[in-house]
Amino acid sequence: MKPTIAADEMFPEGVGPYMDLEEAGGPSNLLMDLAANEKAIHAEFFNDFEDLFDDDDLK
Amino acid sequence: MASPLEQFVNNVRTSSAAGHFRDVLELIVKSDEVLQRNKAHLNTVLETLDVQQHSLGVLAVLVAKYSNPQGTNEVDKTNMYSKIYEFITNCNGEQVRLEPDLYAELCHQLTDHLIEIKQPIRGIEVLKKAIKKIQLFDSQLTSVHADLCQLCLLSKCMKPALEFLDTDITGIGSELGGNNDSKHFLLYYYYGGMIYTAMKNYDRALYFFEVVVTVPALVVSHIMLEAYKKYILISLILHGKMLTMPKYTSQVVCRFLKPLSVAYHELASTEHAAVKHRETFVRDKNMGLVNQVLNSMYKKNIQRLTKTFLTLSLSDVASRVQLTGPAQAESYILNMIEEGEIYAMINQKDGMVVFLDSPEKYASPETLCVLEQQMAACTKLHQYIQEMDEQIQVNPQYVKKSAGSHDEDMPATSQNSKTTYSM
Repeated sequence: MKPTIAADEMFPEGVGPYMDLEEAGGPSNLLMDLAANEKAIHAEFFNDFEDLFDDDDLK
Repeated sequence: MASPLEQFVNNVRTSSAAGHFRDVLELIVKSDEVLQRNKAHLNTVLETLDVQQHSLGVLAVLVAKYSNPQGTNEVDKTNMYSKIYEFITNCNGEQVRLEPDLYAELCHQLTDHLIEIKQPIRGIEVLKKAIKKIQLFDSQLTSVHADLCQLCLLSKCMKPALEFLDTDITGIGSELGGNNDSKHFLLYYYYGGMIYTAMKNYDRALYFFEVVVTVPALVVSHIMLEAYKKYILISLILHGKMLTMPKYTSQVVCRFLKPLSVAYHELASTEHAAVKHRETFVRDKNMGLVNQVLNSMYKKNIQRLTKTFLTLSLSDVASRVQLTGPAQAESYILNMIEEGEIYAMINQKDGMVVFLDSPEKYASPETLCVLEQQMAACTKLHQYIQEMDEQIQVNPQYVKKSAGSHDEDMPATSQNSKTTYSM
């Protein structure tokens, strides 16, 4: 049984139905499936930093 | 008859002079289209308005001037930095606090511009001023916080963000709450976690990533996904294992984030994953952190040895923790002594390590001071929780909802029982 959709301030627009993992065709295709079905958000967020945690350049 | 733009200027001046700022607010909402249509004349408009007296009007004009809706030509961005700098420095805080959405929009525009021209460091001081101007209290989160952290990360100048990050958030600005998108909330905690990671404050970094991952959610956010990957890595560095997620974590984490982070989960069980999934880690720009995870695994193993042995040869240390040889073992041990992670002496002559007990007896005034600070922080936190609990108990929406659920779920006799929270 699918859980009832709770009111949520973060996503007032509500959501589509849940997607079961079996539908997704494995982890590699999951992200594409999510994006195609508009079930993923913030895909365009800025994350284009260099690797800031590489300690090798400190040595 | 005066043009719509002239009417706008006149109305802003008249209403501002009379102190009717609510009227100015209504006016700028209605005039957006007029301003967009007359972009070429906005410099003249700015000359007729005073930044301090007509802050709301100037804000609307600046946002319109630098906005670039799809389909319009390239925006003239010469002087953009100096115009916005002047506005943020001299505007009237009381006025702009009435329109935090537009104010935040202007700060986002400045951030995007500085990233585009590759001068992120120039924005740090301006955005610090901008945050302080719009905040109602120090621990209030605004959507400008995320911009500041982003610029600090890009310019590799982390310290200016710490004064904000070190303040625990107890309230959020109206432009972040209500029906607005959670993006800037998530970004603040994600970028903040990255800053703490770069500063090697892993405890705090883990907390920040945990906030992102445990935000109530019904769909997958890419910010959440990236935070989840870093949460795993920091968890491995700090605790040597992946911590279990808090019970209030949303279902999307198990359903979607876990299958999308297989490489990271594998790293928690075997270090060979670092080689196997190297490509993934490099693509995610997490290879530096993965190397730190591997280092911390060696260090944790060396720490374990100190609990069993009093003395050990360097070559024994190397073979027991699977390092390449005595030289590498010596380098690790020296580094750990320097960092205060173990107490030991190396006898160069016979290549032996003597593990010592910690000299700390926890009886110094410094220890007492730390203890007092921690107790004060706990008392303050307790007060906050009590205050928030009281606010929630008298919140009409909460009362209505909890009374409703009691009607449905509870037998009639228990309707008066008080709802309690558990932490």
